[in-house]
Amino acid sequence: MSAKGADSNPYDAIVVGGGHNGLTAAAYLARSGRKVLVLERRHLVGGAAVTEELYPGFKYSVCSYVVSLLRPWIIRDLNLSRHGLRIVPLECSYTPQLDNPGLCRWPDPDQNRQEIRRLSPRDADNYPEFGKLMGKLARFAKPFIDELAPDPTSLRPRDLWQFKRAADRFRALGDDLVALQLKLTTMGGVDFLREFFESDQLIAPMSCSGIIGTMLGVNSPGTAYVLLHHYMGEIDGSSRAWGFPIGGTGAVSDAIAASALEFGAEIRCNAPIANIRLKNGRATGVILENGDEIAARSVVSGCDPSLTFLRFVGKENLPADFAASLENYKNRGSSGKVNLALDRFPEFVQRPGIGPHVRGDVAIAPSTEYLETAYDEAKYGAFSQRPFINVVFPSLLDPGMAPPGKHVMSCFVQYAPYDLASGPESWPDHREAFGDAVVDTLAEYMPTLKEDILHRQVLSPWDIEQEIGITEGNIFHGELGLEQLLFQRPVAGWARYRTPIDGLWLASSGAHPGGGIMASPGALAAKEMLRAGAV
Amino acid sequence: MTVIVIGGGHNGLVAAASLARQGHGVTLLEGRGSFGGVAAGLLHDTDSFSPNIAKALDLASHGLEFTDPAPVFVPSREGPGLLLHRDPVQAAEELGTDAEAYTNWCAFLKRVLPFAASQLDSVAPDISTTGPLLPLMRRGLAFRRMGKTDIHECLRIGPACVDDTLSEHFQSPLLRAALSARALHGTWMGPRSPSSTATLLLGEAQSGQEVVGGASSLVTALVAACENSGVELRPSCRVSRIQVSQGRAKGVTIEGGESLLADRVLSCIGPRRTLLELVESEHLPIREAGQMANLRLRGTLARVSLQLAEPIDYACRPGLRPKRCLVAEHPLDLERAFDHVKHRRMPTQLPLDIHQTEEEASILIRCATIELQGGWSDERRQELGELTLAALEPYVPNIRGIARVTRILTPADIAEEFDLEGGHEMHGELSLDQLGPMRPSMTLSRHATPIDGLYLGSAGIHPGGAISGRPGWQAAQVVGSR
Repeated sequence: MSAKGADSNPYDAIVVGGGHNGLTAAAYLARSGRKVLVLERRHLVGGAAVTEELYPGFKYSVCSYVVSLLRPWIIRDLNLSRHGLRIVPLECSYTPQLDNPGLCRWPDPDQNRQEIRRLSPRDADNYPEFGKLMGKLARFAKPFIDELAPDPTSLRPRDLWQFKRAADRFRALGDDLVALQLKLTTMGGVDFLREFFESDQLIAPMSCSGIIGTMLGVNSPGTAYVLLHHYMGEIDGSSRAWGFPIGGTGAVSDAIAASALEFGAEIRCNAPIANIRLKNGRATGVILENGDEIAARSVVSGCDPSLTFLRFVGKENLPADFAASLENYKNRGSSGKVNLALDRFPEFVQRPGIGPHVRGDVAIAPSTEYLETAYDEAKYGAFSQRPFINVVFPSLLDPGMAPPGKHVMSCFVQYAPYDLASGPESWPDHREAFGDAVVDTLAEYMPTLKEDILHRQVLSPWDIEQEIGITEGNIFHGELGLEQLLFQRPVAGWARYRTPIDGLWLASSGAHPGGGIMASPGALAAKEMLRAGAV
Repeated sequence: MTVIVIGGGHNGLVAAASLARQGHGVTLLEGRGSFGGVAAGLLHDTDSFSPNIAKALDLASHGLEFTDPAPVFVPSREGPGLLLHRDPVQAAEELGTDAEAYTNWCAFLKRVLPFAASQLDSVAPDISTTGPLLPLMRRGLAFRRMGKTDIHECLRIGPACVDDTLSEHFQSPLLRAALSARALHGTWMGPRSPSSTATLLLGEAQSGQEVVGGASSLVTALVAACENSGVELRPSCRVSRIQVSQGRAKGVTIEGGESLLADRVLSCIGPRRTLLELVESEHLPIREAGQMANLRLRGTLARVSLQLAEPIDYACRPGLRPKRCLVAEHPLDLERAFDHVKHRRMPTQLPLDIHQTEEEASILIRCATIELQGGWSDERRQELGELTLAALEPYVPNIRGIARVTRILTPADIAEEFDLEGGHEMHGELSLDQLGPMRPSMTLSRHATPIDGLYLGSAGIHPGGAISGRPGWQAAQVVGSR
């Protein structure tokens, strides 16, 4: 406590929620000499990016399991490499099939061509061409995730100028790419990919990127644009899509936390807050669940918008139209997680061995029909009996994740709708059945899997909400639909981290540019606060 | 100047009449034996036909009259159902607790739709990267004049699914089903598909009064207008080739070998068939050929006609005998129907769009995919008729006693009988990437083609739609001004 006493704003900023974005915001503010306190509800920082040893010797990246868009400039600014961050690229994307060797997509173009050729020579020819086009569009789109969201409805000179720059960049693409970009933003993933490819076994795994974390199917309009993410990712400066942090995704959070601490921030765990304290409509600090009050000039929320505003601020304290917009904000958790500790490696029957094909991610996505059917079940409030599963074996990439000879297996599963037909609170009754569906599905491809399992953790979106605190367990803090992106994230006109409550800022995945372990919202929010003189 | 118009659907008729009234020598070629296309015996709704076009072509003098659209009845198994008037004042009593929300919704539409309607009444904007910026900025400013709140709302709900949008406003599933059904016309979407709110707004922006006597009266008036203004009408005259030499359209060859020459050729049949089948591939740039190959036009429309011994009377509202009826009690019924389309299956529970007169009912089914696994066959056709009666039975218990199925058109039959590629009544699905300046593609949405003298004017071109007449009308203005 500062010598001036409790009410004289000893902290410049309190960050509510120690997820990777909250920590990033704290690090940036501390780096600029501000006095910052991070409050985390759980016993460890990281939010959904945590590594936990739930079973002796086996470490799980409990929720988030890979990184793709962690911004290089943030890695540099926060010295994350010095704080222990090491990311190894995933070497392959493998899509097994039940009756054939399936498809491996490799970083190496020649190897890829050989694989895809088996399915369709035409697709093999188009694949690199497609990559080039996407690469060009990704270069157009990338600046959006590194700067404030442009506001097309604002007439302020600064916004008009930003909008003009984006428009110029857009027109510089040329007609064909402009048309392609428009299609990419509006079309369904499968329809879009069918313009380039004919093999369903290739289209299915490619279309999956568009549905991750959303309550949409691979045919739903608007799911194509996420394809760009694959061409936007950077790991160690090279454009590679996905990577695995040594030590699990918790290592990313730990590195950011270490950086924040080094810059002088204070981090307090086991410190759940009850409310954001308001005085004359202005945020003046927080009230902890234990009743303690902590004052600060500004409060920064690293939590999702619904939790931040509807719970910590309270609907009655918000302007009516803002509250109404928030109530229409779509959270809709749609994915669950099954983490397995394994006695030995469960080989794939159609591609045996522990080769490079399993040192990446494995997608259970045998056909577009399969994926769409999985979505249909969820649409009416049931988990998919045969879900889309994205598997990673962290212990193959980082032996420290499991005892020698043993393995951990991370399964991201969709669809597991938060809103079960019988209500979200009925998830505990369905949780294990959901886990069984996942294991049964996987066991079709890996026949020994069931006998290899030592320990199984099943997380439904409801569990994620209970444990991590994210509303409806949506890993992205709200659907990444066109209507909740850019200047509309989370609410039109409030996409620049400022909120209708003076002194309260939003720095989470629920703000532009959205979810994934990107750290952009946290960093951009902190910069905007500093620019505006709010801290 | 002489112009050949290919395709005597309503857009072809509108274009031909308009060009003739501009003083050009117009020949209208129709492959079928009669004119009108989908307006002559397939689609019901005429409320999207542009009143401006009716006025400009003086269709009133040919007997065309408009009237307020009939209310739509949505029957229910547990309750009196819903008789939905478009006008909020008339609708209020039926809507009960939703009445106020419906009034607000209609007020919102009234504020934002004039902008959309103005876009539908003009040629698509030129968004090519070398195009002029000023017109785009003008449109942007016109949009901006709607005011920030409404703009934000449009941008928020446009990409959203219609089920979400309507659920934010309304309680009654019957009301939500009735409003969302309309949003799905001509699309390959269900009410849970993102961007189906945009097609809802598009439909609402076009809708107004309907034609007295229905689509066939409209066709009669349009044919009369053509005759009256000197259009040479040639039915049963199928074009087999558009003649092109040195990059310029010279005329057409019709089946049987006859050659017709003209200064301009305006095609009011589908853009894909026009460019990929009627034009020799050597004349079409590879870019446009690719765009047309990728055009999506998966038809989902089928029709069942009933002969009625007495009017259909719904058990939940005896004596009402509505002209228009929608059988779907919940938006998710429509979604489940779309699931079958997606998976190329035979639909099971059919939502029905019913139009009945004293002795007949025409029932449109919008969830029968042309891509049906195993293809459409006689058995499948009969099955569709049976499913239609089965879907009606819970609401009209005596339906089998009073109705006889006289005709069943599967999507494959519609493709064949109405000469529609993909069986698609709009020559291209309505979806964000196939609308506005992207309909049917960025370089073809402004009616001109890479082939000099060849123009496009069907519903496959901006602004699309059902029986609206707008694409044909705007094409005629573009052709006439060159």
